[in-house]
This record gives sequence, structure tokens and C-alpha cells, in this order.
Amino acid sequence: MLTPETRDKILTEVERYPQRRTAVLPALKHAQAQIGWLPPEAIGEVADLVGVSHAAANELATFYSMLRTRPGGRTRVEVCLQLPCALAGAERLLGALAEGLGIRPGEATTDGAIELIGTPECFGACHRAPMCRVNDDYREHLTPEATCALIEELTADRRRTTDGRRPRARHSPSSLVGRPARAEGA
Amino acid sequence: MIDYKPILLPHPGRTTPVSLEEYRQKGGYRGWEKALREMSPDDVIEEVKASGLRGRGGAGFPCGAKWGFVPRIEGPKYLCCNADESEPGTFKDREIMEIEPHMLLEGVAIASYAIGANDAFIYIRGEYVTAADGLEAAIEEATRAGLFGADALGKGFDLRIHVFRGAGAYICGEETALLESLEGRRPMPRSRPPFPAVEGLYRRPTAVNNVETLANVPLILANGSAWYQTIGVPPRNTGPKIFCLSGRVKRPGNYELPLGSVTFRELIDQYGGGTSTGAPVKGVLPAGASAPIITADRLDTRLDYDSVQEAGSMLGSASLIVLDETVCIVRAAALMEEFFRHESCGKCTPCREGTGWLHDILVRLEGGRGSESDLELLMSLSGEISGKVLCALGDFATSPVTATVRGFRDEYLQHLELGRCPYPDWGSGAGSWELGDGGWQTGAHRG
Repeated sequence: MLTPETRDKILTEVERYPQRRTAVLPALKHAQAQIGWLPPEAIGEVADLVGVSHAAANELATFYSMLRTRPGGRTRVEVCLQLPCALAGAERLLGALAEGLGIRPGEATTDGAIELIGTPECFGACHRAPMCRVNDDYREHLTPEATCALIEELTADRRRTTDGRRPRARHSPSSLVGRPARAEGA
Repeated sequence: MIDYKPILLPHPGRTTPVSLEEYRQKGGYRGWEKALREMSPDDVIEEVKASGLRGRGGAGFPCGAKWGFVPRIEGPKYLCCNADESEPGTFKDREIMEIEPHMLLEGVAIASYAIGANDAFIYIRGEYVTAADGLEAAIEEATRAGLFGADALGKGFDLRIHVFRGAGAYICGEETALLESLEGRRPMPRSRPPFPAVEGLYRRPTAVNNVETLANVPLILANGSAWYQTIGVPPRNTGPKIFCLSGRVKRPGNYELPLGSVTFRELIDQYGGGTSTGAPVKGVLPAGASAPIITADRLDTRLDYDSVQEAGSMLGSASLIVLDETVCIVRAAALMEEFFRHESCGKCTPCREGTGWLHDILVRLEGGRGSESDLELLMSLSGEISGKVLCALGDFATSPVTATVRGFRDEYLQHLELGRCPYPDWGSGAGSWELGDGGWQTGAHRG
């Protein structure tokens, strides 16, 4: 299921390192970049290309948090909830994004466009808290204004990529309007 | 504030990387040239030993001594730069890599020469895409200029520097897990001995050094160990240190200062602008989630390895998370424990199971449920993890628990007496969640 381009990239990785097994992790990332996640067939194909057992590739695919063994949203919005961000209102940020996007944390929109995730992992942006990652981009200093703008942006992107189906997301979540609130799920 | 001009991060506020040309104009790669042209590998190791440089990743182990452990034998040897910065509250290596990629690369090159490694790996966490891209561009730039590659600087030393991107796992910051990850295996720590210096990457002699540690090395070579010893508190706490300040302070950020030059209180008040809420400091986590909390009565402790250790904690990576009086300590502990539960690799049973149990008990206590005996349970469980696992993650995972139960027992009991958390809205007090100054908390937001 891997394209010739992806297979070439993987074979280049195999050449790059003193031992081929080192290439398994970068190879899995190339496969995921093409497909969006790592179905069992793709993991097997990567293993065959690198020359390791399927189990050897599978044990990496199921370990790392950036590798995904089930499909999710095309755009991943990942909010850090670890202590420094929590001290700056990360749970409110997550709540506002959930409300604005019309989904709950851990869910994807029904069209598969956007997935919202709250995570205890720290991304090294504690001085610019609260923050989230939108795919690989860091979005930092997420003030209520910046959060509203981010929701607008995500919703506009989604409208562009979804065939005519208008999302029902509200753009100015009521949770941003100064009501003392503590998001659930701490 | 003390009179000090930063040398590791000399461009506060800058967002673009320093180019090769700019770096060289300011004397960059002088240390690398000096090493290759005038010094033997042993000379380099002796110079770094004499500087007193200690590892900046957390353990504080003398850098020169670590290089000295790598045996002088034939065959491949490796240098690994640990750039898997994932400790909560830590964002210093990111800034070095994003802004000063050549400073790190020069340190990597000198270290590789010192131990006789022709292949160096920078293991960078997968989320640091900007930093990894910047490093790859800088490697290409420097290789084209003849600084690295085959026959670097025409001195007969071959050097290949590889950037290897992780995929989201805190455990990869543990050096033997990092090596397993590089070998394409599940990143689970190895049993020691043998230590990496003897059997590291691909079972060959390997040195593993943190980004900030290696960024110090060019300066030591260029200016000499005697100069380096004038910074900080010789002999055991020399050189500059980047302090990552976060949490409830007005001005969070990276502050580079000589080791031992300021106290916790001075850093928070003079550099961080005091607490963001104006409430007094309740405690400071000096090394992210991994070291015991420094309570308010110990804020006059100097920020160096030995002083923080005497105060009962660890300087570690110097990631200071400031908690003010309005913060619930039980909830803070629960958040940190959730991190360790999430990041435990699962190899050792006490850590894999124990971190989950500790987290469950903390959540129960924070909600005002549970009983006083839970406090003893937390302590005894911690004792069953710490020291009974292969790596430091398990030990670290107990410090948010044991240190807060010891230091804040009354606050734990208060939760049980009330049957709920006394800080219902994360302690920011009435109205402070309101939208003000563009921030989440009253006047708290960061410029």
C-alpha cells in the first residue's frame, strides 16, 4: 500500500545508518506521513523493506505516542495539560476548543477532519503556555483571543476540505466569557 | 540583578537561527579549529575536566570524566547528543537548537574528536520539528564549508553528524533507552553495567551528553578552562546555566546565569517579576516533575548543584515550575504523576503498575475522597518503586508524591476534612478566570 515515493524514502533511510534496524522508526514515520496512520499492512510492508520481522516494526508502532495504529482526524489538535500549562489555564483552552469545534476531547469530527486531544505530555513550550500542537505546528501563547482565531482558522480549513457539509461549530465559545469553570477530567 | 552577559543564549528574544557566517564572525568554531589543529583528544578531555563542566541534562555528572571512560580501542565509537528534552517545565535545549544550532554542532564535533567517534547522533524529540530542520540545514552548511565531513578542516578526521528524530516518548531521555531507540528497538532502559561508555550504541563505546552540556564545550576550548572557572562557584559548580522559569510567574522564560549566582527567590522576583497572581510562593519544583519540591522556607537556597542538593532536592535540568499560594498542591502532584504513568515504558513492574496506583490515589485524595491511611499508602508504595527499578524514571516518579506528602500533609488532610478540594477553580480565586489583559488569569499573562 506504500507508494513508490514512500518506498524510496524508506530505502534511503536504510542506507543512511550503520545498522538497518535503526531505520525502522524513520521508515514508519514515512509510511504514516503517506497514509495518515499505520494500518497493519503498512507496518508489515515497512518491516519487509527494512528487513526486520513484522513484530520488530509493530513493537515500535505501538509504543511511540506520535505513531498511530488507528485512524484519527486529518488535523490533530493536541493540547498540553501538564503542570506549567495547567497553571496557565490549559483545561479551559481544551474546553474552549471542544466547544468551538463541537467535539469532545479524544474525539474526531464526524467528517474525520479534526481530532482533539488533551495530553499529559509536555511539549517544551511552558514559557508560552497555554499551548497546543496543530499537527506539527506549535501554537503558543493561546490567549482567549488567539484561541477564537485558532477555532476560526480550523473551521475555515475544514470547510475548504469537506464537501459542502457545513460544520455546526460555534466560533465564540461561551466558555471563554469569564465564567469560572474547571474542565472535567483532570 | 547581577551583572552578567549571556554566552549560551546571547540573543534574547531572537526567533531565527544564527547562520554559520554570523556564528563565525563572533568567534564560532574557534574551539573546533583549536582542537583539531593544536590538541590531541586527551588534551581536549583534560581541558574539559579542568573546566569543571558538569552534565546539564539532570544528573550533573562531570563531562570530562564521562569522556575519559570511553576506552581507547580500535573500531567504531559513537557520540550521542541527548536532545530528547521532555521534562515538564524544560525548554532550554529547544532554544539553543532553534537559535544557536552551530554552537551545539561545534560542541558535538569537539566531543566526537575527544572520544574518537566518526559518527555522532543528535537524538531529538519528534515534536521539535523546527529545531531538527534547523540543525539539518546547519549541518549541511558547515559540511559544505569543510568543517565536518570527510577529512574535516583538512586534519584527517572524518565526522558525520546525524539528526535522528524521536516519536514521542519521555523515556528516550534516559540514556540507555535513547540507545535502544536509536538501534530500532523499543526504548526500554538497559540493565547496567555495562555502562554506555563501554557498551553503548550497537554495543560499541559511546558517550551520551545533553544539548546544553555540549553547547558549553566550544567556549571552554576557545577561552580555556581557567576562564570558564571564573564563571559560577568553582570548583564544583562552574559555568553558566540556563534556568527555565515557568508556572505562576509574571515573566516566564529562559534565564542564563552563572551557577550559584542567584537564589530561588531572586530568580523568581528579580527575573521572573514575582508571582503572576501576586500571592506568595507556595513552593518551587526545581527540576520539572522529577525532583522534590522546594518549600517556601527554602527559597533562599542558591541555584547550583550542591546547594539545591543540600536543601533536599536536585537542580537537575533547572526547570523551575513556580507554584503560588492559590495552587492546589495535591492536584499539582496528581498532574505530575499522570505524566509518569503515561511515560513509564512498562519494563519494570513497580514503575509500570505503581505510577498508575499513585496517580489513582492522588486523584481520589484531590477530590476529597479516600482516607488518611491513603497518605501512608502513598509513602509505602513509593518505597516499593524507588530503587527497585532499572532507571531513574521510577525514582523520579515518586518525588512529586513523597515530597508533597511530607511538606504539605495538612493540605492533603484538609481535602479529606472538607470532602472536596479547597481550591475549586485551580486556586486562582474568584474572578481571576476572567478575561483580562488578554490572559487567562488576572494580569497574569505573559508577554
